[in-house]
Amino acid sequence: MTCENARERLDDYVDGELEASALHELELHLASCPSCREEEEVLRSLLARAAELPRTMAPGRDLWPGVAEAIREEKRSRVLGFERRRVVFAGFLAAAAALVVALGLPRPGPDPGTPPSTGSSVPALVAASPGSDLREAEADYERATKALLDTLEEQRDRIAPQTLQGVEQNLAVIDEALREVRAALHQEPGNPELTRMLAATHHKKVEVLQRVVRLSTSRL
Amino acid sequence: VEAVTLARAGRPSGGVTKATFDEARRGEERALVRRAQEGDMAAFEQLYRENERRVFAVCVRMSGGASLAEELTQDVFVRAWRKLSSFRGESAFSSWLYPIAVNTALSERRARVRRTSRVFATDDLTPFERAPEVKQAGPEAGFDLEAAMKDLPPGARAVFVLHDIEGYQHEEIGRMMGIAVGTSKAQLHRARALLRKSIER
Repeated sequence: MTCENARERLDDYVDGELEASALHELELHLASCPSCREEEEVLRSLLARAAELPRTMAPGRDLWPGVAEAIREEKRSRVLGFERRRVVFAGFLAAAAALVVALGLPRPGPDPGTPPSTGSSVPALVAASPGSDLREAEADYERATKALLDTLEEQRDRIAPQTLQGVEQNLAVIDEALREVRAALHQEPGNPELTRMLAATHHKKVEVLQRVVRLSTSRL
Repeated sequence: VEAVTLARAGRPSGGVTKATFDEARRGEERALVRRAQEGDMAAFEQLYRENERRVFAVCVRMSGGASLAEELTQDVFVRAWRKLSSFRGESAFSSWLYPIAVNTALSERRARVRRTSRVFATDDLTPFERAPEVKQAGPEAGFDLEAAMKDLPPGARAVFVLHDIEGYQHEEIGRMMGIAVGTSKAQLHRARALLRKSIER
């Protein structure tokens, strides 16, 4: 064994990771080579020093206040994120209400209840129903929305272009609100407040569409 | 406090073993973790006080500087707070916490490398090898290992700290650093060789 080979194996040797044959070969070399033996001694001394180093050190200042503040800040921003979604939702409700006013439709009462039927099946407002219940309710709302949009498409020629443009713009606001609430629910699945927002947003979309369809058919 | 009382009470008669002490300590720690998981900041502060010095030492050695290590230590505990719900109490809190410390220090290093890579190459051996000013007066006697470690290339330093000071195995280091076991061994070899040269100077 050359000195170069021996020194390459010294790490495994001191870590006790050399296989029996390599170990025997290296020990024979060390017995006859003072220079490699010295290398081994220096390495062992280095490892002994590393093992003696203190495992703990005191920071120069109390770091806890900074940690506590960062955690408090994080808690605050979580609450703010939730508040921001509430603002978006409120913005959507205002847009939907403005649409109803612009169309000269009667304002919904304090509790929207079941909107007037146009022949489409409209599911009841779902309160805090996570998982599959929520998915089923969303599918129901989407079916009702599609039926109403189809009807609206058939009546398209009978609606003033300006009104139609307003309806489309406001539906875009509602769809944006739906995307926001869905994304938030993806982050916090099962959050009852968000679930309620999602169901209410779908409900509002169906309600607005029903009113527009009813308006267009009554003007026939 | 309860654990300490138990151990003290047991000492004269020898009736309470170290295992009993550890068990009592673990029970106390689990209770603290549970409270912290429920949002109790006072409980989390206690966990912080018990582990801060060890985490700080890891951060100092991994980052090579005390002021950066202070920031890293704070970051470690904020991350630990965020992830606290994932701690199931199957191991000691410290065993769960230290890899977070190591990873925090490593990811800061990676970010720093990205920021500075346009300016100069990292893990360059030349600064270390051309540093006669750190030469000590006597050969081994005056050797300052902490100072010599600071001059190691960061990758080699991280593996040396984790393997030879913290006692992690190459497999664990490989997982934490996202490197192969062979790379971890090569970095350790490199660190030890450079430190040996430094001792001999």
